[in-house]
Amino acid sequence: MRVTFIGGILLLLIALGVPVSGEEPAPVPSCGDCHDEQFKPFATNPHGHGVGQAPSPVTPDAGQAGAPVPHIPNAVCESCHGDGKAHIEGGGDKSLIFKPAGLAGSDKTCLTCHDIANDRVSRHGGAHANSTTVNCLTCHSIHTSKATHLLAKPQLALCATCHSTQVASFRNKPYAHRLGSGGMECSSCHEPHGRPGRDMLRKTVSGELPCVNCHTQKRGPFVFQHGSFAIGDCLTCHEAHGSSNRNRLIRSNVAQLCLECHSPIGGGRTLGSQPPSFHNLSLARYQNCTTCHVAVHGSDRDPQLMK
Amino acid sequence: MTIKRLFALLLFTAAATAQAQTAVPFDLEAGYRWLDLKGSSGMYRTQINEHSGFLIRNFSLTTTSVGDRFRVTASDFGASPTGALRVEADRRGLYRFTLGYRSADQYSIFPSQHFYNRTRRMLDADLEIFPEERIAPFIGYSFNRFAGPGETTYHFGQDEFLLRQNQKDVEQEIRGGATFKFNRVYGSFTQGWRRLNGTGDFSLLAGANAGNNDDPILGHQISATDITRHDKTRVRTPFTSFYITGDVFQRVRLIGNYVRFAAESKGNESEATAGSFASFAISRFFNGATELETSKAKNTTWRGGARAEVNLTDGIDFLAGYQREHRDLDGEALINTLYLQSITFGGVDQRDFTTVLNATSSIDRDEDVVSAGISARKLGPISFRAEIRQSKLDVNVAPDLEEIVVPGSQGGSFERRVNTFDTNAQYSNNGVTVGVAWRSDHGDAPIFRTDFDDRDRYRLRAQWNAPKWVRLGALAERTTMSNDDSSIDFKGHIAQYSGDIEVTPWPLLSLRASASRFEADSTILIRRPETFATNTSVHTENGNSREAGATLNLKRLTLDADVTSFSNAGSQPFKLDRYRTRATIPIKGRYGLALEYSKDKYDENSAFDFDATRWGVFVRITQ
Repeated sequence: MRVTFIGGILLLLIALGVPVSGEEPAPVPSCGDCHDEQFKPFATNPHGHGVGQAPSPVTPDAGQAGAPVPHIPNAVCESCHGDGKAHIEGGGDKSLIFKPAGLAGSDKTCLTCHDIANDRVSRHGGAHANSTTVNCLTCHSIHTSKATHLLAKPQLALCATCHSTQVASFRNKPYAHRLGSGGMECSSCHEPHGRPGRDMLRKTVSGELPCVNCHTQKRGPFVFQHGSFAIGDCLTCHEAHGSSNRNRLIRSNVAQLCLECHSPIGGGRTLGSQPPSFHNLSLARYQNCTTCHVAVHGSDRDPQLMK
Repeated sequence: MTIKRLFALLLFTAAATAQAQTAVPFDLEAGYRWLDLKGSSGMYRTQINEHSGFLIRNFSLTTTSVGDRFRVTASDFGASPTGALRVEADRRGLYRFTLGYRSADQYSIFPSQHFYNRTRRMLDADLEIFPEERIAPFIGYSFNRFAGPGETTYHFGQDEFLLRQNQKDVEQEIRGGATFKFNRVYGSFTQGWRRLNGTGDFSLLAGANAGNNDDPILGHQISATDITRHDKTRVRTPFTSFYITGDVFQRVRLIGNYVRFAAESKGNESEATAGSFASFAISRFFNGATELETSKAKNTTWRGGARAEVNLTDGIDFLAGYQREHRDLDGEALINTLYLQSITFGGVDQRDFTTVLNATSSIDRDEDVVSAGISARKLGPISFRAEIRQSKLDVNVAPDLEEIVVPGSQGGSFERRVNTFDTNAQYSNNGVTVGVAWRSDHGDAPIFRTDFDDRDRYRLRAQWNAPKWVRLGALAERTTMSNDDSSIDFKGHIAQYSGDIEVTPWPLLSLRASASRFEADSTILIRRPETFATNTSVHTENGNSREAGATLNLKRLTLDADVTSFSNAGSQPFKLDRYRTRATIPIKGRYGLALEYSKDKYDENSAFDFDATRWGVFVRITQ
């Protein structure tokens, strides 16, 4: 049914696209006369507001009666490249036009509008703060990107340029979130413009770790909340990236993971270090605590987290 | 409508659109995938779960016929465990709309005796009105449904029984608010309401009557003839979030934020069992039980903070902030259990026996984080950042909460302070980039036994892409942590190293290769429960990964091929080889063909090994 539903939406969208097919090609603006490669995709570019619309009504300023108004006003290009008059009059002299590149380009163009700071994001103090090494134009391709948010490459490949071990762990280890598929990307959990600390995690709108954005049933609250989750978080027991361990646990042996906290050595000065019952770990049925303690994230019904 | 009809209709519509000489950028790729699986189906589905069937591999359409910009992308619907659809639409000055739909089939055969085969469906829609006005209202809606069958173990009457489980959790959220911008002050306010309804139905699995334990308990054979359970949970969570940013002076920016949510859950459960059981808790044998339970829990959390970014000179900023988070969690449960036809272990006093457990739990948690740092972004080819942070955690836990295994007074008050120094520097010039980072944490009294005293993380990154045809990269990360307390003796290190090379000898051919190494090594003292002897818990990972790939872009053929191999010789040894090949061939005009071959071979020398091969044939229509 879901495929049918999605297919129906796609068909509707295709249908929406059809009516424009009969339109005459728009007259190109003066910048577009030469920069066809940048011009063509700009109509559907997020920066291309107002570009590619039907011609505006003729006004007395438009010159010859009936002449169509250009679809891309030069002002759109000039908002980043500066005044292009000299460049045009100079027959396209490249030295007479500003080409944003690197740190200076990002500072002078992108951050003119996008210098945003909020509870999560900082362009000046973020882990990816605008610098010579990493700046807006390192990751974003302004004219011709086909990816969302004008990324220069699909997100996984882009992040892999610098974070190769993290991406390799997703790609090669057996237990991993399916990055690059089903809408799951690095930025599902990480805020690329975020501030350092806690690995720039993209918290939920109510301020929780991003894990519960999808795994909602683990959010609780539970009457008997597992302390490791109430005081720590999911990463106390789980690896978020690719893992060699089942259920992406930080240990391959479940009993071992549990006993590392639940061991009464040294007078029980730490939380949860009570005697772990009398289970005989040499028997197979006791080697996996969560076989019986199934509600390990928390329970409303059983203090021993068994249901 | 079947997937085949849908596929045919999509092709027809796409063809009609393409024939219309439209200027609408449009891509569709759909076809069929075959799976040939040898070995463990359960493990294959846990790790990969791609199956045979029709598949809409990719769809994208961008047009200006609706608003200023209308874009839709979809991928992997059909014979795939995941699918995604995204719609973006905006009209300058009027609205901005996004809709995302995701589906994920989730299958797991872990832990032992458990499995689930569930599907998650998620929808997020957001609409912002008058996005360029000083006050721009927005509304949003999210939906998340996780449902499907499974099996689980239920510990009851001194034995464990396998139960069939049917779970359904539906969470919905509506939110609204506004962004605002007045001269040098801007921010956002959001108010939302979230509700989760969850139900679970359980019944004894056919053939599971004898339970896991074959041995009698005090000479009494334990068995179940019937177990049924039904539980229902409702959670209501209003939340508020707010942030404000002010460029109060020419060089000073202040940011304040506040978020609060109060989640309240109510649950009830009914259970009926019949059979022959024992209970150490009431020291009796019994022939069945009924249980009724009601519960309430509340989690109130708020976080507030402020920070300043002071621009000392061009490219150099001083950063300072303070954040406080408070969380309190209270719960209570009333559990009424009626044991039927019970007798003492001595065989006397036959009667129905009732127990009532009225449990409460509570946690209070406060965390304060204060930080100060400097960010220098424009020191020629060098950039630099350094920050110091102190976080202080105060926790109060009521005893009931931690009685997970053995009752007793295990709550208490805990306080932990962690001081952090975090710095990094990068050099970038002439295509050469070198970055170093160091983060050092020092903590005092641990709350959990696995909390560190000292932790250091080092990172070195280097890259060279001066000639356009070659890029070389290397990354090394190493984290060490320890707690020298003689009753804990925790030592661990995690290290990841990788090197990669990408060569483009001529524009049509690109070659790539990489090697990565993953190391983990941790030891900590534990107590063996059956002997109470002190033992050392040892975990190691010793993983090596190799990847090689090539992309060939000819006029009549695009070929992409990758080979990867990962082997782990640590605590969980295994070998995993993957092969991916994809060829795209234009046929005529806008039509083309894509062929895919994938192979995954997993070997841990057990019944979980599998060897899965997939072939796919897809028709492509590109505008």
